[in-house]
Amino acid sequence: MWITIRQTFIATFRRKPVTVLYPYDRVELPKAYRGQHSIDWYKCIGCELCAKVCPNECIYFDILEVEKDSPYLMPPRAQLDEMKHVIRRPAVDVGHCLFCGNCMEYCPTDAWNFTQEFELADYTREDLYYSGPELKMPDEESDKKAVLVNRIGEEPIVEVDVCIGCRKCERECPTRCIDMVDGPNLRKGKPIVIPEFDYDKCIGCQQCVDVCPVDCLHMEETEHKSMSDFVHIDRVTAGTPVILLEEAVAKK
Amino acid sequence: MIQPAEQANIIGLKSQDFVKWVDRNIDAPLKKGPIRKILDIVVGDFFNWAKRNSTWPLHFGIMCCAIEMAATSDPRYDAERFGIIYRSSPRQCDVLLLNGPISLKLRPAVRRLYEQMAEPKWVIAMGECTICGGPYYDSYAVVKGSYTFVPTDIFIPGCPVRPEALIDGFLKLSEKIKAEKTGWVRTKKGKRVSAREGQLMDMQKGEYTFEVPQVR
Repeated sequence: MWITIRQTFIATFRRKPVTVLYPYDRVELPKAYRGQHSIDWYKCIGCELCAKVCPNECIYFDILEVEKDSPYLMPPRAQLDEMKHVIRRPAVDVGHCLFCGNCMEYCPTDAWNFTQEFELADYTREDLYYSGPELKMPDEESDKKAVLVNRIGEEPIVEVDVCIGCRKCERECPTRCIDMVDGPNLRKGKPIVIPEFDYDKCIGCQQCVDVCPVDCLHMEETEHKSMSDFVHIDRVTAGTPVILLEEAVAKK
Repeated sequence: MIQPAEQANIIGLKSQDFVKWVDRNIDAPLKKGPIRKILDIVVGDFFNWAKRNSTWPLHFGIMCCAIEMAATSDPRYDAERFGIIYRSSPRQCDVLLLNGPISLKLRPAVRRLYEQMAEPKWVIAMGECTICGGPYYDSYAVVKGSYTFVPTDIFIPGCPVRPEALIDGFLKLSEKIKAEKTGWVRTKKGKRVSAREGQLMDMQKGEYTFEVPQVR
């Protein structure tokens, strides 16, 4: 009985109010909270892997023209983009997004980030579509260092007999891990070229599988790799890529 | 059938006739003269204040976002600070708070609830399922967005929406009601849109749209 009275006294007079006065005072969100998307344009290589793993298919890719000396023109990007002077950056229909974080988990260069912003309410449906430049992360926040990690765990395998040597996969590969070499097939007496993959650089984005006109590529599971096996890129020095294998690992 | 004011036995009238009688004898003369303008100037701001501080939503939970709706009115977030009191009858409500995917079978019921509400009325679409179908976007049984059949005022993305985000949505609605006099509000990106309720989509035909309007 005495305990009950004491508890009642404490609960009514001693305890602080539990209400968080929201617009003035905020609840501290967890660090891993997934709010508004933000994309590090220095790290994004335009591989479109996020659009493929998205369960809602709410990620689109904006193709933007850039100037020749733009800092976002980073070495690992598709040959086709280089020829057309464009970059590809993701855009999100936030009104359709599940906020599941698949895009962040599978991103080979950790370009995807989620901010703590959750006040996304708006008056029109059209304004919930955020284009590429609107989702761009401020330049100061990025550390401009990336590792090409194969997070999907698959690598493309070529069927040599079917390949016609059209070089489409070579142009589309965002990391340029494809090299065209002479194959066994002959056309008019000459050997035609087939793709050869540099599996250290490959991120398993399936762009080559998607563009192949004769379906001669398919994905197969890979063995486990440690972080030091992947290609590390330092983008602080703009222009040519400086590949730091051991240094980047030691820093992490 | 309807008698003039002097002769009418108001108590004996049927409800339908009574509404017509009020329209003819009280409403119409008031709206004709300068009385209406004077009333608007005198009590317009007061009515606006009353409207935006008592947005009573309908307690109508469809799916998992309804849990967050319940969490919004708990002591921690305490939505009643903003006059958000849940009512269970559409007649007493101002806001139709939709949360969750609306299936084809539920759609006529939701439309009916909307029409049963007394004006002025607003609709809030909470969570991605209501905004565009969400993960069921390619399902045959789910409506692709509440805005295809009720004029939606506020869209709150999230899966599910945080309680704070829902309160933020209600605050934005009150901002919209506040801007009724000027007639427009700015969205988050700075675009001008109409601030009157139910004017966002072309609803003149009164038909349901089955096609999803293209966002991109």
